[in-house]
Amino acid sequence: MTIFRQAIAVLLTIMMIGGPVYAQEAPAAVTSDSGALDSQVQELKQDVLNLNRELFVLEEELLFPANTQVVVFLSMDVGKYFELDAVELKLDDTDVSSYLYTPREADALLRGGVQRLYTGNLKTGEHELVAIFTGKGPSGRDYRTGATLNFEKNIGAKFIELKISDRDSKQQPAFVVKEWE
Amino acid sequence: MYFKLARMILKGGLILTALLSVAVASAAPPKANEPAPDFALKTFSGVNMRLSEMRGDVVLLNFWASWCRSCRSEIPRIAELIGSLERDDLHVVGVTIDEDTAQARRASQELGVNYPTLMDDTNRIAKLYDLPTLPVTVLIDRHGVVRYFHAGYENGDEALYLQEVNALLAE
Repeated sequence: MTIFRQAIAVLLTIMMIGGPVYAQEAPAAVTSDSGALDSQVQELKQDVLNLNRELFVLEEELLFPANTQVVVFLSMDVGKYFELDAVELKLDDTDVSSYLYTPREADALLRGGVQRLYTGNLKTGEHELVAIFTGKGPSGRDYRTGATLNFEKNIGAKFIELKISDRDSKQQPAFVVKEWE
Repeated sequence: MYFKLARMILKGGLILTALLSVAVASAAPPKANEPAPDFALKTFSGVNMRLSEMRGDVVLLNFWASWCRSCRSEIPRIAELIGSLERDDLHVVGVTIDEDTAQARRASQELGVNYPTLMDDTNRIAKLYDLPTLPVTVLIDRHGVVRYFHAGYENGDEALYLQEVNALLAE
């Protein structure tokens, strides 16, 4: 999206230059009072900011339309039994995401952060999500495990959560993949 | 009325730009004054490191391989450069593209590497940065923008690196 953002910068620059020109041509708005011109420029700046926000939403809608959108989130509620290192995602046997976690990122998750791990598009119908978690398990040993979710993609966005938590009864981490209703 | 017209034109232009940009967007290799592509890799010590977490500091990224003669000449010079600067706001990071990480580890010890080395054994990051040769030294400013991209190494290049690092640290 670098080209996209450069194009935005060019258009915004043209607008900032062109805005006062339009202001000068508006018979009702023309005034020699610099205060009035300032307020018009401020109004234009606010319009640009609002448009920028709309543009981000539009970008998301263009790339990931609601009808086909699937989003996978990751959350952790773990202290004792698992130290997260990496997560790999497969959708219908295709690798779609592979993420390495730095100590800072893992700490953010432990503090309650929720990560938007993957955003993509899927056709309606049955699909399979496989999540593979790698890290350090109990006693600091290497730990690698997977969790699978078979789900139906209907019309509308699909949100899926990968949740890592402690299972005190077995003194092991628990890995759950579930759909958000 | 004219402001509304200007706003409509801007909105239409931005939407058109968005549509066109989606069509032509591509993952071009980074050149000077472009954002450095972000990535995360594992270090020799087993800790994961992400480039964007160094934003705010200057980063010297050095791509190398144990079988690369020029790399083996350059690395000790980079190690000396760090020693001479002693700055907390400078990160020097090596990225080895050796498929045999044990061999890379041995080479790193032989050459006296005194900074973190990331393992890119699948060459994923090497492809992301579109390395034309080895070694490649990339200097990234505090905003995460590539400012200098050096492909290859000749004796004396480290003096230029020092000059460029000092310039970026002074910004």
